[in-house]
Parts: sequence; structure tokens; C-alpha cells
Amino acid sequence: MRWAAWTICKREVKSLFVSPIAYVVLGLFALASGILFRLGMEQFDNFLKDPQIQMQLAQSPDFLNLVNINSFLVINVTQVTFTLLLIAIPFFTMRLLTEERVNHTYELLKTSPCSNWDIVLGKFLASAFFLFLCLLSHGIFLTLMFWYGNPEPLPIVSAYLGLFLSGLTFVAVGLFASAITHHQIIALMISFAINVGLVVISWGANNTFERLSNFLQQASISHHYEQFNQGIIQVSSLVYFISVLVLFLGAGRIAVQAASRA
Amino acid sequence: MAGDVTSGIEVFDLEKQYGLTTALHGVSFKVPEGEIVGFLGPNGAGKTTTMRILTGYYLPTKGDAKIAGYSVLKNSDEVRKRIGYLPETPPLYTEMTVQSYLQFVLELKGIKKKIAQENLEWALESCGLSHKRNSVIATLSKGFRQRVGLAQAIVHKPPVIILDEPTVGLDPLQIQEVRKLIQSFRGKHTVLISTHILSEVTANCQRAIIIHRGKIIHEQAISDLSDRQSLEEVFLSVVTKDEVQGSSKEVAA
Repeated sequence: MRWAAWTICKREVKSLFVSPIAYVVLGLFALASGILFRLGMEQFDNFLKDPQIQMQLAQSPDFLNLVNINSFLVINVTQVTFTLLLIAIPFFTMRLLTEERVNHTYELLKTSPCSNWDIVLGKFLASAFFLFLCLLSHGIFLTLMFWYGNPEPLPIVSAYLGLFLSGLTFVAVGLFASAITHHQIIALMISFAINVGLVVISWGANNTFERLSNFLQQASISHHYEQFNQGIIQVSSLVYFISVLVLFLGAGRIAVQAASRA
Repeated sequence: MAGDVTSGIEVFDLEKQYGLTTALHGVSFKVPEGEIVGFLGPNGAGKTTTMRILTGYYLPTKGDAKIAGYSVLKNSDEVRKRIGYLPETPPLYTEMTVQSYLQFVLELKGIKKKIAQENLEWALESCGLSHKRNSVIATLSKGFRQRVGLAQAIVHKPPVIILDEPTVGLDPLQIQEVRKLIQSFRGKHTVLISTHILSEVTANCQRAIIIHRGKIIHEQAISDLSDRQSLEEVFLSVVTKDEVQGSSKEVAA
């Protein structure tokens, strides 16, 4: 069976790698990750060399459970990467559908036998693939870490799953923003605003109303991401990510449908 | 009239509103299978809106249209399988090469791989693009881009082809080639061409439909034109007459 979303996805990925932008972004991402790992490693090394810490370690070996490479290096790196994705993804997604309008290629897609879902999912899958490639660049450093050290693999898998899901959410938000406007800059601003909103919503959680506090906490993407980053995979967090993805992709589909219903 | 009308285009009482503006007021016409028809009208008359409804890009506010027997309202998917459309601005991914772009269009239209290659070669040949197949679209001149736009409209060999100003930006030699190509569709494809160039209609089409202010005001078989009355004269007289009638109605109201 033919799936038009797959056709659209393949074209999007091909077009992405025709221009130098994809290579530049991937290169910069790998560079930033390299710097992060290097700094984190140095910090961890200095920490272990500290005479006071060495004394403490000699007294109670259990202390190593607290100062391991996972909590010192990986969690820090993934946390900074989360912020990096929050800022970088809107720049990547702002052109996804605005360009289709400006180049009039919407007319080709919408007069072909493919649904609005195909258009949205095709673009989403292509962006998800690129996000996966960006995160894959961390593989270089993780491989080195496993080569020379003995980190726990499962919390790392959980942290990267959280990072990938958060990245997918930012992509869905960006896709929605690019579907509702002709202008890339406006799409960029809207996705920034929504992404930041999804993070800062938990800032209001320290209030006296328990239910409201709980709701604001649960509505925040950083809360659920933190769970994954700590190595805790909760069903509620998975449900959160799936719901937000469906919400923004669904809204994107409606916006794509409305684009030709002038 | 030759041909079976159900395999062509049938338009019933189309209305389209954009907010408070009514772009189409009950447009109805028929294009039988295999006929090439010119769709004429001044700027803003409703040509592009009608074409966009026929291709499933817009939904009509009222009325319906049938393409090869399928309703644009009820069977939009079937309509979109059977239609080739060249919009006013060719819908091009300029970073792609001509060949990869047309391959993408073939896949998007659901053409099986077995016959896709044959269709691709035919479209490249027909539109004079064989020597440009590996060129990136962004590097092509306006004329060649227009040809790529035309190639994407015909590459899947649809029974109904809708062309919005197909010769814009082409030089006289290219215009002649496109005319030849369009004429080769006669009897095989149903073609609706919107244009401002009246000589193009006389050269290519069997019939002209004139739209003005969102209404069909005249239909004319090209063979009925005499030496004394050219299509240009017919066009100017019916449009001016409609303009005068419209103004007098506005004054009376």
C-alpha cells in the first residue's frame, strides 16, 4: 500500500541534505555536545581529585553511588541539550510549512491524492529523523564513556528517550506554528512562545492550592522530562508526551486543512 | 457534441464566498471528454477560483462539480487522482533536480514504479526537458520552470488537465511548442485552459467560455467564429455589455 506521508517525508529529507544547512546544524550540534561532554568530564575529574572527596570515598564506599558518572556527566549533558533543543528546534521547523505556502507547493500537495494528515505526518517524520541524527551525534561520546568507564546503561537510555520525546514535542509545536502563518519569523516566535510556556507553566506550581499546584506541575514538559532524566519512566509521563504530540499534530492538521479553505 | 460528458468536467451552479465577497455566482458549464476549452475572463473574474474548486483545492460555498464523473465534494480523493493541475505559479521545489521532482510527483500521484519511468520519459520529452533532467530547478530560466510546471501536470497522464495561464513567461518559440503539446491532448485528455491571450484560445481550443464578475456570460465554439468577428471582438463586446448591464442594475438599486 502507498503511504503519501512516506513520499513527502522522503522528499523533505532529501531536500534537507541538498542544502548545506543540515550539515552545518549537525556539525554545530556535535561540536556543542563535544564541548559539553569535555567540560562535564573535566568537572567530574576535578571533583574526584579533590582531597576531601577522596577522604570521604575512603571512609564510605557507598558515597560512589551518589557521585557516579551518570549523575555527574550524562544528566548534566542531557539537561543542557534539552535547553538547546528548545531553542534550536523552532529555527529548524519555522520553514516546514511556511515554505510550502510561499513556493505555492501547497497547491501541488493539496491537489494530489494525499490527505492533510499525510502532509503533517510526512513533515513530522522527516523532522523526527533529523532530530534522531542530531542526538545520534552524542553516540560518539557515549561510546567513549562506555569504552573507558562503567556507566549504568538503563538510566542513559531513559534520559535519551526523554530527550527524544521532548524534541518530538518541540517539533510538533514548530510544525503547528509553521502551519498557521505565511511568515517564518512569526512561526519562530509562536513556537518559542509555546515551548517556553510548556516549561515555565510549572513556575506557578508553588502555591497554596494543592490541585492547581499539581496541575501546573503535571502540565509542564520539564517536569516529565526530569523524570526520564532521573531514569524514571512513568506511564503518566509517556501519556503526557503522547497527548501533547497528538494535540499539536492534530492542530497542525486542522491548520493545513484551513490553509486552502480561504 | 462529441464525447461523453461524464468523463469530462461538469460544473453545477458553483458559488464561492470569501468573507463578504462573492467570487462566483452560480457558475455552470460542461466540458465533454477529449475537448480542449479556453476559459477566458478579465483579471478577478473568478477563473482561478473556479479552477481551484475543480482541483479540490478550495471547497465551494454552494454547488458541485464533477471531474470524470466524481464529485469534488463527495469523492475529492478520486477527483485528485484524475486531475493534472498547473497553477498560476508553478508549484516547484527549486532545490530538486527536474528528474527527482517529477519522480516525486509521480509517487505522490500514486503511479506504480513499473510505469513511472515510462511516464517520466514521456513528460520530459513532451515538455522539451530531456536535456535539463539533471538540472537543479533553481538554476532554470522562467520559461523552463514553466515547462517543469507543465510536466508535473501531465506526468501521470490524467484524464483531465487544468492549466492556469500555461504560456506565461515563455518565449514565442516555447509558446509554439506548448501549443503543439496541448493540441496533442485533443481527443485523449479533457483540457481546461485559462488565459488572457485570446489568440492562444483560437489556436488551441475547440470552445471558449467567458467568465466575468463570477458568472459565465458567454460560450462560443471557435469554429463558429467568422472572418468578420474575431474572438477578441466577441470577448470585448460581451464583457462590455455585461459591465454596462451590471452598472445599470447598481444604479437602479
